[in-house]
Amino acid sequence: MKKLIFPILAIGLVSCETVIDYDGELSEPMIVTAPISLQDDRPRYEGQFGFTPSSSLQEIGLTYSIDILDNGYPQQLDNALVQVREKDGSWFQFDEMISGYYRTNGFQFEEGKTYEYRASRSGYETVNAEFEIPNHVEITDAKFVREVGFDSLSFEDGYSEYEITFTDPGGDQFYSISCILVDQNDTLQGSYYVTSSSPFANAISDGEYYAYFSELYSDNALYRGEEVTIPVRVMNLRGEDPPQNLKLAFVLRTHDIHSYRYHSSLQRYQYSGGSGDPFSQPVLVYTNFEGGLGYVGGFSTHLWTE
Amino acid sequence: MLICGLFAFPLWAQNHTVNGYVTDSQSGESIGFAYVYDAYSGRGTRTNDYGFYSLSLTSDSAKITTTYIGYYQQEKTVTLFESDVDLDFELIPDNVIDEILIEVNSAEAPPVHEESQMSTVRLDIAQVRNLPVLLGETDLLKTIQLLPGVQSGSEGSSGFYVRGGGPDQNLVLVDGVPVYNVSHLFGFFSIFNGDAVKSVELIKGGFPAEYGGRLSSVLDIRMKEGNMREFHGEGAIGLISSKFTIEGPIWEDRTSFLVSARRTYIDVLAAPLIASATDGANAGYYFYDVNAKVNHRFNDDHHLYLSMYNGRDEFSAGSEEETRYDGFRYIEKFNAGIDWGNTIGSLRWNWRLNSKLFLNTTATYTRYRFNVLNEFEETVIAPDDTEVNSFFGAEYLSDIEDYGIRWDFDWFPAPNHDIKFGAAYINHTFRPGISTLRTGSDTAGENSISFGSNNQYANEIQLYARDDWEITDRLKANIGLHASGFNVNGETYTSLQPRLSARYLVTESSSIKASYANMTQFLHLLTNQTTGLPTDLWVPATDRVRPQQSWQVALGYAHSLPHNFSVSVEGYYKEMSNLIEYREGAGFFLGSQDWQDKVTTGNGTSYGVELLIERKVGKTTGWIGYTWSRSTRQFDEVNFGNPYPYTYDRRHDFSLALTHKLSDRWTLGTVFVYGTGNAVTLPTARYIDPSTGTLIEHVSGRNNYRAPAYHRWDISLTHTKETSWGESIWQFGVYNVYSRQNPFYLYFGSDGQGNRSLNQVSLFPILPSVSWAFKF
Repeated sequence: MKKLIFPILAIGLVSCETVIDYDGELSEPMIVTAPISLQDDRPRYEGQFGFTPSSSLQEIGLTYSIDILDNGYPQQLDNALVQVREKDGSWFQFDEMISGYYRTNGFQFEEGKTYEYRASRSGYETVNAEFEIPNHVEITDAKFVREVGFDSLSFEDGYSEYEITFTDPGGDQFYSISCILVDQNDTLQGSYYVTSSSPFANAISDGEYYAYFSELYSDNALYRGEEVTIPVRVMNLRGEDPPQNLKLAFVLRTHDIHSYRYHSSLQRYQYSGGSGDPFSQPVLVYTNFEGGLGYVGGFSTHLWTE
Repeated sequence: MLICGLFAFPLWAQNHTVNGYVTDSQSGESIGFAYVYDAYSGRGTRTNDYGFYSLSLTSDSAKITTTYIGYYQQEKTVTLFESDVDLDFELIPDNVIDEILIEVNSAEAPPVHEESQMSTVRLDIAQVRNLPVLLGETDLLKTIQLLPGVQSGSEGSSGFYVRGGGPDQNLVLVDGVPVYNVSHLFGFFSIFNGDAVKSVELIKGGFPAEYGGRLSSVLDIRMKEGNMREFHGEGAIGLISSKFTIEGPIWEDRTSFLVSARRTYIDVLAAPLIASATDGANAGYYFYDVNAKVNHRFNDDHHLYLSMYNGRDEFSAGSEEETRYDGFRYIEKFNAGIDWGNTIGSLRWNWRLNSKLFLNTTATYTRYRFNVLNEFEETVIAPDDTEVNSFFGAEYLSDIEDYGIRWDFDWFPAPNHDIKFGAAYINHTFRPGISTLRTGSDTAGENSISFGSNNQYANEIQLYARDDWEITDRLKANIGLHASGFNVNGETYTSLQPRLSARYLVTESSSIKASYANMTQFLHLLTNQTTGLPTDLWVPATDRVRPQQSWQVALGYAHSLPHNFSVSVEGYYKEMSNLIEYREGAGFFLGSQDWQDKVTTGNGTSYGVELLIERKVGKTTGWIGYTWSRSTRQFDEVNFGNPYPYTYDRRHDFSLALTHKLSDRWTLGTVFVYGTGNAVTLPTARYIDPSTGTLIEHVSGRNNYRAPAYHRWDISLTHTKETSWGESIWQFGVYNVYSRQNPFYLYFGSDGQGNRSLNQVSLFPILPSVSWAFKF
């Protein structure tokens, strides 16, 4: 449809296009933060969604932003001071291993606790933020429901539908669900794209089509403190048994609000193709930093296997 | 209190009721909102929409004066022998001179400070016609945009935004029938053919109780009724369209008709160019609209009006291409089209029940539909001439359709009371986005599937009563209550909306006014903030998406100055709740299994100050308007819940619209507008997400950037010449005289030399126009 509308607007209407001055303050370079996971000392299925209690090895990636008119390309940020601590505790410092990659060994996050993070570097505004490691929530059941084939009219992919059940502990909770393949040692061997048409899930939908991603995000606004069953569509599984020695598994991540907002907005940003065009609403990628970008947040996981 | 008051009126002794109709002496058409005044008692009133007035007087004689803009004032002295005195007025248009048999004076402007109603503007249609316009097309809505408190949308658009409200919050009525889409050509022209319009009234606040169903404004447009005495015609030939109107009596002074039609010919003009430029591809666009009206006067007590409007926009494109490969011929045909339009009908019955009570019953029908069609067909012809055909088609349809009936009573029980009460019922049908896909081939047969949002049916009722009450010589109040109910899918919403507006005369020529209005809107418009396309969907409130609500207070000062000048200043504050907005990233084009999943609800706040200096009578007429305002929105799921400026939040908005009669033949018109740039969303930085490596353009907040200011100067020169057969009118206009490149859309791109830059797309440079109109 966009192809149709643009020519319409163009017919005799667009008089000219000019370069104009940017009438405002251009953004100063800012520290961009994201917890990462490059080492193999924790389960790969957890993914990179913030800090997690599954390991005492903590990693941070830093880059810097450039203003929107800068012809350059944003790069890693080196020589920064990166610290973390339990709230009101003593600061624990990260070491820079290579440019933009910072690591500390021996700091153990714990579920249910609040932490503080800060990063500073000369020439940049210091950033700091508070975040939590939420308590994990366990999947109580994951049940196969039905198989739906490829739709030749709407071109919608075939999928297998499962129902994932868990009990929400109440309060504000934020989740993501993934469907993966693991071996007998629960080591990640592959992953599927998932989506859902359930109102309990915040799947991105543009019309009839529900977009597939590696993670399906959901907040508990509609099931606070209750047991909930969310139907999850797993793309192209087609009822085939997993390869030999592998098994299907579901990961339920419990995010703190910052991890949830950052990753769900990033997913929406990637889906819509950026910060907006005349035919879709602009997407803001979340940050919990004043004077900085990116995020720090925490999450916990539970793995359910067949 | 109002009800008690109603029953108390008969107890007040009244000796005489002077009542009747005010009509145009040439056409016999009724004149609404004419001012009727008794000089002896000092009592005055206005005619209702159908030209009827009623004045209750206690003295034995009366000196009744009637005035209306564009007509000579008329005065009659009567002795009041009976309790009911019929007294009709036939006003003479002020373009008729030297043929007057009765004593007349040129009309003065109605005193702006005397009305209890505030935040209301009535446009003079003759003046609208003399103002410069885009491509020579007279456009009511573009004139409305020049009024203080009213913001225009994007460049050239007919959409209007009143006091921080959205385009869906304007109740646009044509002969009492709501219109859902007011634009042609993607918003560049309004659907109202100026030749068929009789009067226009815009209410921005302090809404009288008879109006309901929208939060921000009422635009009440009355179409001409048709000349009861003579046949007349008028038309115009412009650069992109032509129009023609004919009216006249079917039965003199009893029955008249009016038919008015307009069509663009962009498609005809552009077809050869498109064909030559695209090697056989075709594309075209046109719109048309037709207004028709018949009215019949049975007697002085009964009058029937039948009116209809039908308008349609249609865009189409197509191509056919043939390729050969390995002895096979492949013929591919592509067709696409978009069409949309309104159909409106109304049947009105005026009934003067007695000298104090007037009933208008209106049956209404309105429908707006929008349709998108894409078709692709392929024929493969093998070397042995056997054919295989296959096709794919997609159609998208949305519409809203209403049937309604309403009863409006005007009751004049006492000299200081002008009461209106009534009821209405509307049956809504919503079809918010039905998609149909068809595929087929010679071998596989045909398949089709329809999906999308389900049809929804709703019933709406309205009850209202209000009293325009002259409490003392200085204090006048319009007190009312509007009650409404809405039932959709088993869910019922009810709403009680108190309305109050009052004026206090400070001096003989100035007054202070104040108003409060509570409004409920049961309909939502799913609209895209960045473009103004006819794809917007009307949807009802549901159990998940509640009705929009607002309350507004306003305080103002009005002063009538010598030489027909008037000045008014108003401040307002408005809060809106249950507004809807697409979630971030949501595309707006495709239908959804359930649109409710795509939207989020939130609130809006708007406040500002408006200044209007106006002159309606004289050689030089027009107005200067200025608005200072602020408007914000807050949605939990947009901008991370933080409030942000509304797209059409405009801190400063200035407009000047003037016409000056240079001579009997030449009239000069000019318009200048200045407005703070729209609030737009632009990224401010770029960065790499360290965890995924995604390059992200960082947007610091929704509507975080101000587009460059909008300003434009237009002029026109109108030459009117009397001929043996009527009038010949040439209008020469220049739109955007100094060719200001106003922003239509901003984006970050390249300056052509490899540097990143902020680029602005502008639409209309300087555009001269010429049109010829005629009247006979």
